[in-house]
Amino acid sequence: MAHNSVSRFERLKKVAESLIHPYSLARSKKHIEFVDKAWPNSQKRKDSSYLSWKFRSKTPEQIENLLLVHDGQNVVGQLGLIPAKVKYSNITYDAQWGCNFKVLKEWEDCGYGSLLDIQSLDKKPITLGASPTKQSEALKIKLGFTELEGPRIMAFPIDFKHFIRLKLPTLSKLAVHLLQVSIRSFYYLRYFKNYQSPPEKDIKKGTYKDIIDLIEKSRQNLAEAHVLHDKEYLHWRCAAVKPYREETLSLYTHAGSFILYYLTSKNCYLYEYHFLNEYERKILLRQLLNIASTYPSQALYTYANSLAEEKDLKEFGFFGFRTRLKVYAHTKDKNVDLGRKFHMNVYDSDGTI
Amino acid sequence: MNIQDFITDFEEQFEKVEGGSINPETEFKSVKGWDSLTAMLVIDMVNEKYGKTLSADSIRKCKTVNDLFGEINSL
Repeated sequence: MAHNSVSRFERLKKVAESLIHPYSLARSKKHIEFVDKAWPNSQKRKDSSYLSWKFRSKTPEQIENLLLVHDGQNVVGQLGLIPAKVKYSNITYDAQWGCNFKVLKEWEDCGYGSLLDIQSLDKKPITLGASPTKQSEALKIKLGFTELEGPRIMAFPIDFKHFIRLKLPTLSKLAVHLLQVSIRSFYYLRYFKNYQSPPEKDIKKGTYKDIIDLIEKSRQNLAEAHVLHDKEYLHWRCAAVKPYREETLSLYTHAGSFILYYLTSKNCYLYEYHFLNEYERKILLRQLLNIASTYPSQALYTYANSLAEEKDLKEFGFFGFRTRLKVYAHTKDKNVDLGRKFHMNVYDSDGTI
Repeated sequence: MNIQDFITDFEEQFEKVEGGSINPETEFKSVKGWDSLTAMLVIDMVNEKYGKTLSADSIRKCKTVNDLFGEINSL
């Protein structure tokens, strides 16, 4: 909002304060009505216990990080904020990820969305957003967010039909079948070793709890800005949240290579990985492919934060999405510097929750 | 207040819009650059300049600049 004076921004903040309130038990009924319109099929987005966990609240009765905008008595929009710690150049900052942003269709572009963004900016020194919609991206730029280069999404197809339908939705059933047979044959021939079971003795199966130290150690020397994955973060993010989420799982080796992964009803997400050498990379990825294929998942998905990671994953059979993810960061503190890149993992922000 | 003065004030709320490109019949939500923040800036401008409180609901209901002008006059 560079062309407007500070006092104008302050006035908008006052308007925001009068219309936006955090989720509370007293507002829960109206919030449920809002969610039924905004996300008709979502149970968890109106479950106060789940929301309390997701936005890291001490109580489901008052969730400070779930902002609701009201028109009269009705909730017409919301913005969730997930607290996190961001580290760059040995400095750790308090931050928050904006997510689950929604204004009801009939209220779009009437002002409420910008008020939600404005109201959120004062809650933490740094506010982050990942891959916003075009509309939201333009608003973020106006509000003074800066763009950081994020990772590239990488995918390994398991259900080839799923990918063909995504890319070529008008193709006939027969054509999809024929194409699927040929691509699958190519994959099996090109990467046939991936589909063989790796030696079990070399790999341990566990949960996130078994690799907390390995995760922390692997991130000690990260050069780019990143979310701090310390014990507190991991115990929150990777725990089971019944009935919505299972505990996050791990595969790891004696030497210290690991994969932290999560199976949803459709896909298998590599939340984080670290490989000490080529052999360990191959056996861990093969083991994961084995698990995901049996589950069954449609694909393995992960993020590559460097060209070396991209190369390693491509060698296994992953392909990279054309464009990299964008991370948007906002701070009012001129001393905060996050550099030009953001090292992001699938389970930063609200990925899979 | 006359409609031309209002249009001038209205245009100033956009980051990039050529002066004179908006007329009373313009459907303002279709103007390139119109978004949630522009809506709030218009509400703020009306409050500061004309001393009237325009609501988001009015923005929602109005289609053209002329509708908005009429709405402000009725407040």
